[in-house]
Amino acid sequence: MGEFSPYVDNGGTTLAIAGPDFVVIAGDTRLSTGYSILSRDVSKLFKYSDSIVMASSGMQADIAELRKQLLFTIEEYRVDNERDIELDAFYRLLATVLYGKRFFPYYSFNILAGISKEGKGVVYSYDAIGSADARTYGAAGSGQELVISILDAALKRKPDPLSIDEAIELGKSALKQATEREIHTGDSGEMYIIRAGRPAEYITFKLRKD
Amino acid sequence: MFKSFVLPGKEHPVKFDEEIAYTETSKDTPPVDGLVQPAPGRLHRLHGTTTLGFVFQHGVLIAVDSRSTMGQYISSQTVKKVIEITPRLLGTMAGGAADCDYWERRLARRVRLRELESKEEVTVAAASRMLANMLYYYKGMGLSVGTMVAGFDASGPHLYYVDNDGVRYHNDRFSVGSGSTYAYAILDQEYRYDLSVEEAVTLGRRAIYHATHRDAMSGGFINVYLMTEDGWQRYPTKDCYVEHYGEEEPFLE
Amino acid sequence: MTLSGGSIIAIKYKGGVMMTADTLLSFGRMARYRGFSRIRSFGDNTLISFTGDHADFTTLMEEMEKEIEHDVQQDDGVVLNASEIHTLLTRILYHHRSDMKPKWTYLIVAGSDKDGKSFLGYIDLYGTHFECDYTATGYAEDLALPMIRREWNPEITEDQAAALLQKCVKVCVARDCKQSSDIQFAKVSETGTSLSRPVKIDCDWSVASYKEIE
Repeated sequence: MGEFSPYVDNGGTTLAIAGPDFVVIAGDTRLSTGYSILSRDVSKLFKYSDSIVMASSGMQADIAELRKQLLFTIEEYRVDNERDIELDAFYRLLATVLYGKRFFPYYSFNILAGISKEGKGVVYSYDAIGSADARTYGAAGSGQELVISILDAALKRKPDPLSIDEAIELGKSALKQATEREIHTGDSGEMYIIRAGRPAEYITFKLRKD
Repeated sequence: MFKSFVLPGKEHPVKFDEEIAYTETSKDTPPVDGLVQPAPGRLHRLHGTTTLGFVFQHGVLIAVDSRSTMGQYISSQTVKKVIEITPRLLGTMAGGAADCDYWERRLARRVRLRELESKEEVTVAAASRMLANMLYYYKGMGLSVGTMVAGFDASGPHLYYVDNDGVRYHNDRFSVGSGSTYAYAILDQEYRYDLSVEEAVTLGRRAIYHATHRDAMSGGFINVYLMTEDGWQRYPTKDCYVEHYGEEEPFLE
Repeated sequence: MTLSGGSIIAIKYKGGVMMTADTLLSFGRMARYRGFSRIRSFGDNTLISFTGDHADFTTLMEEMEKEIEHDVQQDDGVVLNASEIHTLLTRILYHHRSDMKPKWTYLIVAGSDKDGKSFLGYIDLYGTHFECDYTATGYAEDLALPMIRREWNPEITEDQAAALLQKCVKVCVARDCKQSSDIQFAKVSETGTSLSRPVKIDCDWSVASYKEIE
């Protein structure tokens, strides 16, 4: 037996697309190690509030721990500041929590989607140790390379503004295409549709189970 | 805010860091003994980059590219590699994106706190020393930071180079990152102290553009900042595509 | 080399959860101890069983007993249910992996609440965890899961579940060289847990007898 590696890659793909006043965020629900599928219905999405949803892929155990630490830190924030956390602070907080494990990183790749104070859809994309930037769309996980190419082709320099129906269809389609060519992605998809001043809408859709 | 950094049990941080961050083990490698998965790579973002800065008669000029990579994969083409520390202090980003971002933000916090305490502006020398000291504390732990601290204080414009070894150099020009040699080629040839603002901005852009052309790990957009006595100001961002072809990149469809 | 346990198979049925494990502890490829129960009943309504290192499992159970003892001393009438035990074990396993001293086990936790809601959960040495309707560890992950997936539905009765597990175990005995044919069945429902005595799986090896190849 060699040196123990504390990491496993549980696979999975996530993506998010922002529009002028909305944002959609989606992921598959497969949980795998190596070539075996452990479960077909483990969520990668984490809804913090109606305007903040996080999608995480990588190592499931680390992601669970990250979510716990994040909730703990947010509760501290709420008590200290006497108000709920907003998207821009959430974005920095997640970066700081991730960097807190700089020398023993969480094996997690996160995308944060939400509505900014100005009512605009925003996507933040992170690396494992908390480098993050704002964008209009992003993808992460084992199908990242496949999905980002699809989103680039559809959205980069798109002349007319993106409609919410287009965004939903594009998100679903990109995950379906990743499922087609990537073994760690599949089973079923789930998506949050986030709009300013409205409850986040949750939808699921079928993906291939093979 | 966390109290201290979490370390893996017993492991040497650098060895561990190198294993998990840079080993390009494929996620498709079959499990060993049916139990253990190899340590997965692709944890850190941004290793290649081109940044430059120089002091001239009107202040300090900073020019940077905007590409961020994870191995072969371009993870972003729109990274902000200039970090606004205070209105009269700027930092640049080369090496690990998270490392630069975190430590320069931490520097910003310390500088602000010190200014509130002493009611005096923190000098560029002091700020860069603070950063160098913070990085020196973690020397040998695997941090990857190559930064320029540019600023304007009572004694005029200043430019410092600070990195993860804890070194801190003062000079009239620097270029940092994998594309720095290409940038130096242009910069050294055309740099003069008596450059006009327009000439300086053009030179910064040109040096970065040529670096992005030759260095695969640099690219995206070119950001330019000018630091004068009145503080920094940002110049329009230029797309490398436009710099090369002289026209906008069309929509893919 | 240490003592280790083999596969577990567990499925939910209408009214409870049923699981099965063989009663062998192996030492490498040696069948070291027979007649060892790998399924433990925990409290009134929880079953825990393991695949992997026996010593690590024993240590885990000691840690768990300390937690339970602490609970008992509180004397507030609060009793952990299966889902809570599953979470607690997940935290313990994740803690050990983060310490770079993993407890080399794959655990299956089954339980049933007073209101008849059943629980089935999986945990591994990294702290990976999830709930499911059926699951298997070890070789049975490859051998039994496809059979269960084909036949299982949420309305399956206790008898059907027992028959299905029996069928799965038979395949495991035939194909997994470390699977013993002395099998223990256990179930948990709202009336509590019950563990069977080890039963011999009826295997007909006559088909494998030596024949001269013509």
